Amino acid sequence: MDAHRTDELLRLEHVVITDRDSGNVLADDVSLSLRQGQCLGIVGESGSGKTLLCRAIMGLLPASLRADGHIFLEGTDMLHAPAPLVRRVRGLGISAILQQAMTAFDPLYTIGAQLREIFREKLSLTPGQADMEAAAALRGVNLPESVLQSYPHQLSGGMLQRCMIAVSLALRSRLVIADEPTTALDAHNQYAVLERLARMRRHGTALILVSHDLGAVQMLADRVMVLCKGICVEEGSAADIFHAPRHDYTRHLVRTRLALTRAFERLVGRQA
Amino acid sequence: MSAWKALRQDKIALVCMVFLLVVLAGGIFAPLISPYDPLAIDTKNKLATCSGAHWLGTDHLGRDIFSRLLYGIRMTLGFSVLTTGVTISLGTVLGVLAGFLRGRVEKLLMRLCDIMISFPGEVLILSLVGLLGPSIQNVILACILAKWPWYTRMIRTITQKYAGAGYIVYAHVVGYGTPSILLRHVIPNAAGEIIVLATVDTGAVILLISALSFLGLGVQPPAPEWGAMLAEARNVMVLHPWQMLPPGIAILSVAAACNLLGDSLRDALDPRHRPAAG
Amino acid sequence: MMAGDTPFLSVQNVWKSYPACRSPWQRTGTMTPVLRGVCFTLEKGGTAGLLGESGSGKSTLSRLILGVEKPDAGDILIEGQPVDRWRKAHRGKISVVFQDHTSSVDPRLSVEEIIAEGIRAVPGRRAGRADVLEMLERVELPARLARRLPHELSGGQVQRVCIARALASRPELIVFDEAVSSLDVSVQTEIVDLLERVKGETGYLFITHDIQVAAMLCDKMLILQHGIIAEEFEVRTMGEIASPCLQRILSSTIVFQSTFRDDTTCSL
Repeated sequence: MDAHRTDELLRLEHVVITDRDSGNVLADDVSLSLRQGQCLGIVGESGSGKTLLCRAIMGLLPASLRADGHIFLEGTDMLHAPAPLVRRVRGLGISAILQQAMTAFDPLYTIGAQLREIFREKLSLTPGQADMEAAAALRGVNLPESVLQSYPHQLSGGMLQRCMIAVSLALRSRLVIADEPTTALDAHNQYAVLERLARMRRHGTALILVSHDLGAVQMLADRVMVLCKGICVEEGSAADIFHAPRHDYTRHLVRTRLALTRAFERLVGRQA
Repeated sequence: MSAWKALRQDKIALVCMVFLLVVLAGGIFAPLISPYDPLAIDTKNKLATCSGAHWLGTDHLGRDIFSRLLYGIRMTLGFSVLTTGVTISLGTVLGVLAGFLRGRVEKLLMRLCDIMISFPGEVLILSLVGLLGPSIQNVILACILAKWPWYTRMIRTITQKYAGAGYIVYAHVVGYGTPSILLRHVIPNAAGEIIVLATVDTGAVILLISALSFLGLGVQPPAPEWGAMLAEARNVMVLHPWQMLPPGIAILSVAAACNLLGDSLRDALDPRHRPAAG
Repeated sequence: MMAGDTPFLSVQNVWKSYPACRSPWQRTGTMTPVLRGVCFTLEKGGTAGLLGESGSGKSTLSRLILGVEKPDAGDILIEGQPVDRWRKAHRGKISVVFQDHTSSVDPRLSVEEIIAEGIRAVPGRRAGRADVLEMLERVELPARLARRLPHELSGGQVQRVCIARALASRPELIVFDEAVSSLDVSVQTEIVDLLERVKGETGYLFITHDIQVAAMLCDKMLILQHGIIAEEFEVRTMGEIASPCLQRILSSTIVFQSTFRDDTTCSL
């Protein structure tokens, strides 16, 4: 692993996540490194420890779990640094896009009110500026301004997911962690969300995309890590992983995903 | 059964169960255990402190407090369990019907519940007992009348939660009838929550019956009942305050044991809270 | 379609509305139409994919076809009879598999009891252990799972149990309501493989938002958009259809590309 490169944003060294009660190891010796503007795809089936790893990076593991090793975010060790410092680094550097968009927003306030509050707090804006910022942020993700007046339950999952992306864009986060951002969405919205994430990457944001869908990861990632039962079984460039998988488990994932596409391609007449 | 296994691993639940079983046994075998007749008056020996002859002392008429406590179990615990049992059964039948059949049945039952609930519970019970005359039968009747709407509403909500589940819709689609769906899926699944409700509420009913007896509306003297004993002890509170301790602690500990056991049951009965076997 | 014959399932101009809700505080009396005149037919033993985005009314339509709810207007007929009447006369002949594997099986019952419920749905049939094991084998689950409870199984295994339960009553129509959408892609493929083998044994309506899955499993495709069937075609002619509606769906389909080719059989 290349030590302390100047544009390195995130580095995980031998991260082990254990359950305090049962002693089960949920993620075993995971190391990775992410540079600015890069996109890392983490693939694996449910229960492979993908989500826990993301929560560990954000410093948000549930109290019943323990993380060992080092997670450096811009040089700060998120596991061992004092809590206020961790909070500050997390607040400015990372934003998260979660699977359940419905529960990410407070159902009692309009989207506009919630965006304004975030922008006033995080970007120290006046209420007027925050209003403009909120409207601009929504335009950036192709949502009409009427969304500002809507309550979360009036919007679809895909629209809420795009609202979260709008927040990440406006905060100019250096790292966005998207944990299964497309799983709860229908095919059309999946595509729209991935397109927005791709655009975000072009602004220089680093991205961790966690998904069980290799197709989604293929659209965005330059590097891919394959997790199986908490162990990183294969890591490498996206092209290598998808076109020449080495580990049996990766091959299984590629083969099964390919099976879904193949029949479809035959019908539509597209050529791979 | 694995619910039982989960319960056995819970220390608090175990202590509560053993305690309640001991109390229950004490009530059942009261004639064998109790050293004195609970009603035997011995005025020479009144308000005695704890001693080898009278383990918990004697009351203002010289009756043995330990014997009265034991016989009191039959009254206090017995009547509470009876009250809760009848209320829950009534609430389950009506609540499940309202929650599952919906439509007019539900509307009618719920409006009836609304009317009953709009009276303050204690005032309703007091006025009913006042109307019917103070006796334990009337207290039980009044408690049931005042409490059934609460249970009906809660059990209706529980039922509705299950009524939308996939396995109920499936059973409906492939042609199982409503009675068989209710008996096979809805009631067994709701039973866990209903038992919890019942256990916690038994504690509350113990307090309620004791309180009514304390006010002189429930069990009539000289019958030994914990609330009534507390009321009698109150008369001599200034000079002999420890007289209130045995019935007071008995009520407190049994009610608390019921509540704690209810909490543990809630966790133990839910199969999803148990660790997977593999 | 053979002219003159009554189709097995016939959905005729079905309308359904739900009360609109503006905010948590206020309810207006207006109704939002979810289905606005849906029409289609399905042959006996036919397989159709019902494709639609979230909010297009797919789930509502499935509830109507299952007879759990009634349409505001229009008819849903099976063999010429209204659904609920047909269902009573032909117990177990219509069945369903749901998306949400956490609530689709009774958490208290073992796998064995769940499948037995499907077998017993047909009047006069008894569910012996051998019948249950046979069903488990059909969905490629090991016999040792028979005594397990649902929470001890993975999502894919529960979904297989649901399929076994649905097949157990030997239905003529199964409604799959997003039956693979909440599973991992690798598990989806396994379930799709399983369903491909079921094809021909029973007719089904496969409701999904994923055109790739629908294309693999169905002969006929129905696209539901804004409460009406916007497009209806045979899947094998899909490449020749140039409607904007289908093109929009195709252009937003995430296609996975890989030059990896190996023909070793999946060791699942």
